[in-house]
Amino acid sequence: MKSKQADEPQERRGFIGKITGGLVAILALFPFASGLPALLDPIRRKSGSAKWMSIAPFKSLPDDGLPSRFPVIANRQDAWTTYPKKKIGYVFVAKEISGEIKAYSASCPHVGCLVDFDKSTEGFRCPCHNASFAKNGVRTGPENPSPRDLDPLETKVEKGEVWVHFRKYRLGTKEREGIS
Amino acid sequence: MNKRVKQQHSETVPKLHWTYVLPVCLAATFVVEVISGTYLWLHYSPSAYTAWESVWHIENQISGGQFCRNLHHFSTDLTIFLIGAWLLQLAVLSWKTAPRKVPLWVSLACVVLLLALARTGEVLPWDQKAYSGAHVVANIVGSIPILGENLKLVIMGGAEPGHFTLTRFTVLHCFLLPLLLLTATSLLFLVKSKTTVTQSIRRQLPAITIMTAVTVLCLGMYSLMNDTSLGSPADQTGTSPIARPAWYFLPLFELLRHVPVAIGAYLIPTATLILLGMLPWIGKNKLGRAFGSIFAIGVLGSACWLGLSAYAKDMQDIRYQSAKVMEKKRVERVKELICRNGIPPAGATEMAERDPLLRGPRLFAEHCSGCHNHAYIPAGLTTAKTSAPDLTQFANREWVSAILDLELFQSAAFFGNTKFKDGKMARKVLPKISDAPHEDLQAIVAALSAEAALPYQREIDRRDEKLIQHGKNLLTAEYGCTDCHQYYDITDIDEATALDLTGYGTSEWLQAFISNPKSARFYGNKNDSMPTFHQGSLTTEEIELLSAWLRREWSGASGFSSNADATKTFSQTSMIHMP
Ligand code: FES
Repeated sequence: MKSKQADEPQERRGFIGKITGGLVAILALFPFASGLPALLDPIRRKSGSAKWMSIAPFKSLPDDGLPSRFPVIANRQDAWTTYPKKKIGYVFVAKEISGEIKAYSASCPHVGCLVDFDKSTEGFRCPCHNASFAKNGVRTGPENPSPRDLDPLETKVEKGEVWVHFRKYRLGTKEREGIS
Repeated sequence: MNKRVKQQHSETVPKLHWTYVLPVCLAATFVVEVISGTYLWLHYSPSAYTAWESVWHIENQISGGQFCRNLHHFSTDLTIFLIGAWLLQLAVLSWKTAPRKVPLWVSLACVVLLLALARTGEVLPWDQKAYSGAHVVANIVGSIPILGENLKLVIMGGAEPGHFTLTRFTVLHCFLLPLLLLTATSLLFLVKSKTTVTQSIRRQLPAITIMTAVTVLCLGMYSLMNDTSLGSPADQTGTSPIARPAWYFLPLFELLRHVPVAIGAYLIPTATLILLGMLPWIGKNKLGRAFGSIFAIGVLGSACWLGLSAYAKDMQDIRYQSAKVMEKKRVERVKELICRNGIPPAGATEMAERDPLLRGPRLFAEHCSGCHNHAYIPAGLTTAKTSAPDLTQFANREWVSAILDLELFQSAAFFGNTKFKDGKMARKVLPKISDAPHEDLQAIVAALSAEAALPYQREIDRRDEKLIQHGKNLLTAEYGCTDCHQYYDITDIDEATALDLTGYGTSEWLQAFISNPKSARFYGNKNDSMPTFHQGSLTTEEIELLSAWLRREWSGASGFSSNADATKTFSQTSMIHMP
C-alpha cells in the first residue's frame, strides 16, 4: 500500500514530465515553423512564366541568315520593385535563307552564361566555359561542356512582328525540361 | 625582447608544437575577418539598388572604410590559403599516423563553411562580377534533379537574382554561416576536457600571442598597401563576359569545362570530402595511410593545377582580356560620374544605363562591332574582318577626309568589304576628288564635317566659316555631289540615289540612319548589310545613347556635352523612382 502510494505520483510525474517536455519542444519549434511560409515564399511566386513576346519587326531582321541578339523587354518585378520596360533576357533570332524564322534562348544550357554570336566564325561561343555552337544551335567542337544544344524557342510572325515564345529551361542537364 | 621570450619559453613552458602554428594563425585571421566584417555590416545595405552603392560609399567616402574592406577581403584570402595549407599538413602527417576523427571532420567542415562564407560574401557588393556569379551559382543549384529548382528559388529568394538574393545572402554570410562555423570549431573543445585546453593555452600563451601578432600585422600591412577593387555596378540583365570566380573557386570553374555539371559541382567534391573524412579508418594500416596521404596531396595538387590552367587560359583569351579592359574603363567612368553628380536615388545601375560613355560602347560591342571597328573597343571584342567603315571619330574632319580618299575608301577599314567598293562613288566621284586641288578638298571636307555640328569641332567650325561656305558651293556645283545626294533643297528626295547629306552626322541624322538605313533618305534599296535597328534590337533610347557616344557627346572628361542632353538624362535618372 505504502509502496503503491509512492509509485503513483512518480509515474504521474514521469507522465507530466513527458507532456511538458513535448510541449516545450513544440513551443521551441514554433518560431522556426512560423517563418517557414516566408522562407518558402519564392517557390509560390515562381512567376516568370513562359510568354509570347514581340521581339522585332519582321522587316528589321537581317537577310544574311545569321542570328542576331535581341533583348526581350517587359516589366520586371524584383521583390518590391517594379522596373517598367526592362530587359528581362535575350534571344537570338535568325531569318534563314529559306525565309524561316528560328529563335534560340541566349542562355548557355551549361550553367547559363550569355552566349555571343561571332560573325567571323559564324558560330555561338560561351565566354564562361567555352561551349561552342554552330549557327543552328548545334554543339560543335570535340570538348564541349554544354550538355545539350542551344534551346530553340517557338516563333511566329503576326502583323509584321516577330514573336518568340520566351521561356526558360533547366540548365546543366541533358534533357530539355521547361521550368517556366 | 625576443631573446627574453625565447628564454622564458624554453625554461617554463613546453614549446608550442609546430603543427599548431597553422590553426593559431587561422584563428587569428578569422577573428580579424569577423571584426572587420562587423564594421562593414554597419554600413552595408542589401538591396539591388543600394548594395553596390553602399559598398562604393564604404570604399570612397567613409573614413577608414577602404581599409576595413581590404582587411576583410584579404583576411578571407588568407583564411582560405591557411585552411588549404592545414589540409596539406594533415595529409603529410597522416603518412605516419592516421588523423584523429573529430579534428579531421571539424577541419573538413571548416573548409566547406569557409568556402561558403567566401562565396556568399562575393555576391554582396553586387558589381558585375558578383551578379554574374550569383547567376551561375543559382543555375548550378538549379541543376540538382527534382529538388534543384525549388532549392534555387529559396536560396536566391526569387527566379532571378535581385533584392532577396542580397538579403538572404547577407543573413547567410553575416549570421548563419559564422554561427555554424563557431559551432563546428567548438566541437574541438568538447573532445578535450576544458581544463586541459585552458591549461595548454595558458602555457603557450606567449607563442600564441606572437603568432597572432605577426599574422594580424602582416594582414594590416598588406591591407594598407593594397586596395580591393569594386567593379562596375551590375546591369542586371545577365552574365557578363568577365564572370570569373575568386581564385579559390577557379579549380571548380575549370573542372566544369571538362565534366558535366552534376559530376563537377557535386559528385567530385562530395566524394572527395567523404573519402577524406574516412581517412581515420582507412589509415588503420600502413597501406591505407600511404593511400590516404597520397590521395589528399593529389586532391590539393590537382586543385592547384586546375586553378592555374584556368588562369593560363584566361591570360590567352583575347576576348576575356578585352572585356576586362572595357570593365576597367567602365569603372573609371562610373567613378567620374559619381564624383560629378553623386549617386541618384535609383542607384548606380540606372545612372550607368543613361550615360552615353557607359552604354554606348556596350551597345556598339553588342550590335555594331560585328562589322564596324571603333578604337575605343578593344580588339578582342571587334571583328577581325570588318565589313563596314571604322567609326572612330565619326564625321569629324579626319574621318571625312579619309572617306573621301579613294585608297582608304576602298580599304577594309571603310568600304573595302562592301558592295560600295566598286560603286559609283569609288568609280566616278572619288577619282575626281583626289585630283582636286588641295584647297578644294580641304573646303569640301570642312563643309561636310560641319554638317554634323560635332560639339568638339564647334570652335574650328566657327573659325572656318568662310572655308565651309566655299566647300558647300563646291559640293553643289563643281563636284556635283548633289547630282546623287540629297542636299538641302537642291536635290529632290525622289531623284536622290545616294544618302542624304543634309545635316550629315547630326544626332537627328545619325539616329534616323541607325533606325532605318534602308529608308529612301539613306541607302534605300542600295543598302548593303546595315541592319534596321528601329524597334528591333535597339530601343529608341539606346539609339540615342549610341549616337551620342559616336558623336562624343557626354559630360565630363574627354566628352563634349554640347547641349542639355547629358544633364537631361541625369535628371531623369534621379526622378525615376520618385512619385
Ligand atoms: S555556361 Fe556556357 S560554357 Fe559554361
